[in-house]
Amino acid sequence: MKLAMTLAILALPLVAQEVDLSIFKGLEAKARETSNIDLGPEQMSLMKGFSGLLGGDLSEATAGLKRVKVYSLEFDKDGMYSLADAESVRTKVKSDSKWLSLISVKEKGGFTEIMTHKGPNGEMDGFLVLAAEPRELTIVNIIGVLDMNKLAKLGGKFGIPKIEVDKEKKKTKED
Amino acid sequence: MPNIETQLRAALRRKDAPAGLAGRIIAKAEGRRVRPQFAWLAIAAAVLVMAGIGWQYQQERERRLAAENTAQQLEFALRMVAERLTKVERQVRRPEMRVIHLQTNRPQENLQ
Repeated sequence: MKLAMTLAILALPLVAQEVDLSIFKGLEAKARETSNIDLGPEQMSLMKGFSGLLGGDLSEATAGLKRVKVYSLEFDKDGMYSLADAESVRTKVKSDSKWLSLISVKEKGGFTEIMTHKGPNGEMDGFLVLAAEPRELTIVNIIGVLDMNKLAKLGGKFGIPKIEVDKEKKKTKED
Repeated sequence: MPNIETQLRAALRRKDAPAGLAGRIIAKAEGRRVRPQFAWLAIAAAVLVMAGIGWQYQQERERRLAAENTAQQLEFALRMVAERLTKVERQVRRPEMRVIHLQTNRPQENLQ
């Protein structure tokens, strides 16, 4: 009984910013392509111990990260995973008032939710991308402070696409 | 002059070694010879030190490889985030796209 309880506690997310993805367990077998990354505090501190592994800018942007989880699945056909499961994860996260919805997009057969977690001092200490498409399910859960300003400046470097948030506004201003 | 010759002769006159000198020299040399058990100990210590250095080098190499692997995975994760942000941004611009919610206060500052 004690062992079962201990295991149950271990299975729970460790911190509030950590999203429980156990509902998707077993989906990998159905997927054509899977990316499953879980970088914990030990790995992050090990990486920080070696200077020069990340470029200076990237190193700065990620200095406050504690854990990074990526769970991405690509399927050969529609309906290989339950959209309802993805929606239930979204609903659960949204029910926590500390998670703020940054962008929420709904489209046919899926949705994209980008959320940030508000820390005790009002800083952003968690980040979540939950994207459900008919043939693709992507979840990126970042725990710790991710400097989005610095990340946006990294567009075009390290294989990170350029985030052109300002372009349209600048054009409008110029007109 | 003859006096000098006499002195030289006296100085260079052959003298026999003191009795037992050879035996004493041999005994001293044997005392200094390294005993085999100490030689083995020295070799074993050297091997241990070398093994320790090798192990430490290997550990450091493994740690570096793990760190490099972490850095690559982190770059991949950030690439996914940036790709998704770009995609969403394009979606939001499409007029037919139904945007449920777009919070523009604090988080938008982050995107700029």
